[in-house]
Amino acid sequence: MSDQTDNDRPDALGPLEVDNPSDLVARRAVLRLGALGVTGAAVLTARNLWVPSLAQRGLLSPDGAFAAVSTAIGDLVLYTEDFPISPLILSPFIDPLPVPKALAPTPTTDYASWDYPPGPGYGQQNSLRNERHQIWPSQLGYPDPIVYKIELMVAPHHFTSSQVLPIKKDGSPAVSYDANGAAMPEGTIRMLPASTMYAFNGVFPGPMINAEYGKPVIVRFINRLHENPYGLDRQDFGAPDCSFLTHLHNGHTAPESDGNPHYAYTAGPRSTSGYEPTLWVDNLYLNWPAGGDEREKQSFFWFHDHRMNHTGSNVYKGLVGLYPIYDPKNGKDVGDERRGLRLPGVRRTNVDGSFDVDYDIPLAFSDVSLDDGTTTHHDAHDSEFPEAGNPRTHPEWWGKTFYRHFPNHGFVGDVFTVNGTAYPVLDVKRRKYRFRFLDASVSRIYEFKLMSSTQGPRSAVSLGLEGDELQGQWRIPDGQQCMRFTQIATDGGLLPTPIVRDSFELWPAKRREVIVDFTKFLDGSPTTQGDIVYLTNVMKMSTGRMWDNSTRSLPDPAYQVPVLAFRIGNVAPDDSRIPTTQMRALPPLPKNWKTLMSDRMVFEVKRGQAGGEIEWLINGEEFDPLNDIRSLRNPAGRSPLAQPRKGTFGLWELRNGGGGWVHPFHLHMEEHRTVMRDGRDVTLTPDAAHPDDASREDLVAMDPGESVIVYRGFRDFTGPYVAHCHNLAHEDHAMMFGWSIQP
Amino acid sequence: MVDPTVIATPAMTSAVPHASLVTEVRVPWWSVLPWAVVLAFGNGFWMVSLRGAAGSIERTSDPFESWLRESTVLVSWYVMAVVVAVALARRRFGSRPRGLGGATGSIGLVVAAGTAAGTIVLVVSSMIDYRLQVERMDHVATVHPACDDACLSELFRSTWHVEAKAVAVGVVLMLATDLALVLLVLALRGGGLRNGLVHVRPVARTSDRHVVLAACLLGAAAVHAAVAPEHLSQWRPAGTFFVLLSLSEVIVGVLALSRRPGGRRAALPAAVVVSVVPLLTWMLSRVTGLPFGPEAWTPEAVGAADAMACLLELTALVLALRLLRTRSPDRTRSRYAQAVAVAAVVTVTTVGVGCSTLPVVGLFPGVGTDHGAEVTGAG
Repeated sequence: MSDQTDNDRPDALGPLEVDNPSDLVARRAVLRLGALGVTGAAVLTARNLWVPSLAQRGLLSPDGAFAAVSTAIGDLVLYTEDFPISPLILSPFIDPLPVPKALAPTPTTDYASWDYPPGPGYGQQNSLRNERHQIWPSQLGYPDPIVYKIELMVAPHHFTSSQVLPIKKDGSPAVSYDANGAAMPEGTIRMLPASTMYAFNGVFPGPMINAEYGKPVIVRFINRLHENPYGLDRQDFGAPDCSFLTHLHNGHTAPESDGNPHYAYTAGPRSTSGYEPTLWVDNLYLNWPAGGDEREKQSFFWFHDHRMNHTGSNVYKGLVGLYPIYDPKNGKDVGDERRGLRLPGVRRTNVDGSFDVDYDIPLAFSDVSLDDGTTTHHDAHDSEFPEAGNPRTHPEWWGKTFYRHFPNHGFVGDVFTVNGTAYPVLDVKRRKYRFRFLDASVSRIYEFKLMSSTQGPRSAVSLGLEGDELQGQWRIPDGQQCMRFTQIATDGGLLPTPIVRDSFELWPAKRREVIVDFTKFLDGSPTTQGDIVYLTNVMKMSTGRMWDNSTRSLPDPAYQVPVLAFRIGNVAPDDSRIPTTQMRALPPLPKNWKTLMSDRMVFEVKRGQAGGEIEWLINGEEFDPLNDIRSLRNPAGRSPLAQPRKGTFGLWELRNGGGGWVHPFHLHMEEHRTVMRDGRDVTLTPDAAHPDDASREDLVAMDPGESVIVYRGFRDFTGPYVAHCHNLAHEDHAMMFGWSIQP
Repeated sequence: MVDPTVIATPAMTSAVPHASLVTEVRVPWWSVLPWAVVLAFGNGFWMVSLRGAAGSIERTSDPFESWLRESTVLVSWYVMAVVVAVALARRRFGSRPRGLGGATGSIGLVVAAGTAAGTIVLVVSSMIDYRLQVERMDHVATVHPACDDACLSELFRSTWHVEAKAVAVGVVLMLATDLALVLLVLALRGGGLRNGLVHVRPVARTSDRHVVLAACLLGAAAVHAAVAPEHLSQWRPAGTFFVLLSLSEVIVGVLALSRRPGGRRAALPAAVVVSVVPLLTWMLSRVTGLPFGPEAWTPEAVGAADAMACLLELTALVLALRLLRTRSPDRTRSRYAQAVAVAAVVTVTTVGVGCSTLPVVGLFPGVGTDHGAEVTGAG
């Protein structure tokens, strides 16, 4: 006998108090249709609103959707990262662009009289007397190095000479404060106070060393950050112990001169974060291509601080220097447009032994945020700066640089500077120029276009914009592309052949070299004296995670932020040419490189939480400055330590497992060549989003969720190096690993 | 007054002697199961998303897969919660709630139970994360001499603060989601809110306790089967023991469900044996270590999988002993307790199996398993 009864059935409702059975049917139908309608509407709404957003951020996948939700929760609730609104610079494009002059070397007679002159012997590499240079130039048949002295100093810096208007998030006038923290009425137009910088020789950006292959350089970096001759408030960022490590970004350099924390913890300074005040170190830059291979020559380095956990704040605080490097062999790229490749540049030899190159101008971009006096200073590093008394507001710091050690968003400022000046103008001749672009920002990525504007720049405030839309402060709403770039080099040096580009992306630490011809516009019409061309950033990036809009991902035509104005002047002689033949061959890949794939090193970056903030781990490990990392299990089933043998080559895979973040991942010691991107061979046809894959680079641009495999060598030196994300907020929060070259 | 939801057909009452009939209240499974499933997956979504925002890095990989896996294995947990909620609702508002108060009260209880179940899971998940984060920060302190005890304490405090904040946010999100999902399921079913279905049926041949006993034994068998491959790879006799134990528990469990009284009676002493033997073995292995094997007299650490298996065996032992002493027929009038008990057994089983090293079913990928780990320096 069955005990099944009617009310077991799924649609059983049992006796209901309805007068008319048809009412019951109607009620059920209404409920079901309503539920289906709500569900359908929710799905459609999500599809219309969410899917494009996910696609834009490279998160259009099941895992990506979760990553997006996690990110949103983190942003909204867990890691509130509030930034100030910088005062509006009222007169942009008035200050001239500072064009760095070459640093003068120290005369031989001078450094010979130092208590501890540079030299190849043990104990001569640093003031701790515990190191020597691994390779002295004479071992390569090179002359003795040219010696430079650079002191790390505390110094004031002004980003603009313009008056400023303090504004709120809605763009309306705001109160401001004086150096004592006393409030000034809303709308008071002010001059900015000087910001406190830690800077090479006290200038930002630091000195420029014009180097040449075959002519080694020693730079003696002396730490005088403990001194404060101007009595400046050190505020709450910058390495609290004032220690430093200087890294020549992508110099083919021995570990003791590489300025990396893996070295600093295992040799040299040992168990300290770097060279502390009063200490010095001689960094020897051999200016020698990897393996002595001409094809490995590069063209534009920069040097910056690399102190563990505080690289971002130290770089933001000014520890940035420039290091163009020329190739005199056969006059190929010697800074003389009458010789070799005839790239723009007129070389002038100075009496001090240095040389400058006219029409060859480095452009170092960095974004800053200026304190509004009302934003609370608070992050996980508060205890390192007890004098600041954080968390609290600092009205007395109004108008000075504001920094926050936040690794979730990264750090983006709302004032864009070039060579340390906000919205400068460069008077150019009607001829071709070579520009060396460097992104010295903590997290910001740029995409540059050359644009003209009939109406000229308008402040974002005057356009009714608010909040994050105020970033960049100025817009050219009627801007139109008017010129193209001819790209001639990447961070790995000269390209095989030039690439003509409408725009290009510049990721943190990356370099791009372009030729701009100021004689004619895009349509072929000639330029005239007084014409203005704006170098314009068209990549909106409201947080340090990744762009909101760019040309390759939902372009926003309203986001056109002029960063630098070129004011065209008279005609000038121009013997330069845009190369039409090969500039520099790529070092060849071995024919069997694909057979090396299974035994590649695998490194995966991911994010988690510890210490109350986001941290970034690689292969699940916190950066360990004492030890080398171990690869994830590769297809060959091995998990080797990252300890390649000297003189070998290999494939390294970098996986972006973070979800929703882009990572500019920098590999020290030798530049590399990208061979695979997301499982696709890019050696023959580069990825459309990453045309620079067809060159040598020192930094892997990883889009969200991407896997990139690079081919690289480990030549000439042995010892510890690092690899890390060059979003410096990520690097400072453990997104770095140690590796070493074995003899 | 006649309960309008009691259905006893004339055929039933005439064909069966009155003494052989029993009135019972059945769980409205067609409501409970859909609710449990959507609550498991809805709350699981937030749990995995919050883990991505605040959790330890070892547990943030493959969130979609984690969500599918963890939500699936936790369905029984939510079944338990919803059954408890429906039982409470029935007690308060009757089998068929009437009026706005009855409906909102019943729905509110289900939502509250779902959120409470989700909160417990979220708290446990956050505690696992916190433990992993503390381990990593301890390691950080070893390579950062500047991070002294005060610094480390501050890191711990900040980490805990974020985890606690994430849990608080999660509770709010789950509450809102659970309310929406419960109402959506109810609407998709065309309404018809039920807290119970009253039946008159013949006396059951198997008692509720026999069913729970069988569930415990089968659950323990599943956990033992899940850890058998690991033991086979380590020491074949140990693996063989687990295979045989698992088979024995299956046989006794099936016997406990037998419709023949003789079979059910025979299952009870057998259940005592297949529960006592592994319990004693487990205690020995964790206290002094086994006197034989590759690592004789070396105590093993207590792991989640073996703890779950022991919990099931202990429950089976208690039930078997009580059934041996009680020979009166089971006249339970509610199936809610049985449903909760079976759901609890399934939950414990899934946690136990999930803590094994088997691929795919692992609940905590990246965390590893404690099962079989040796205690170092401890007796």
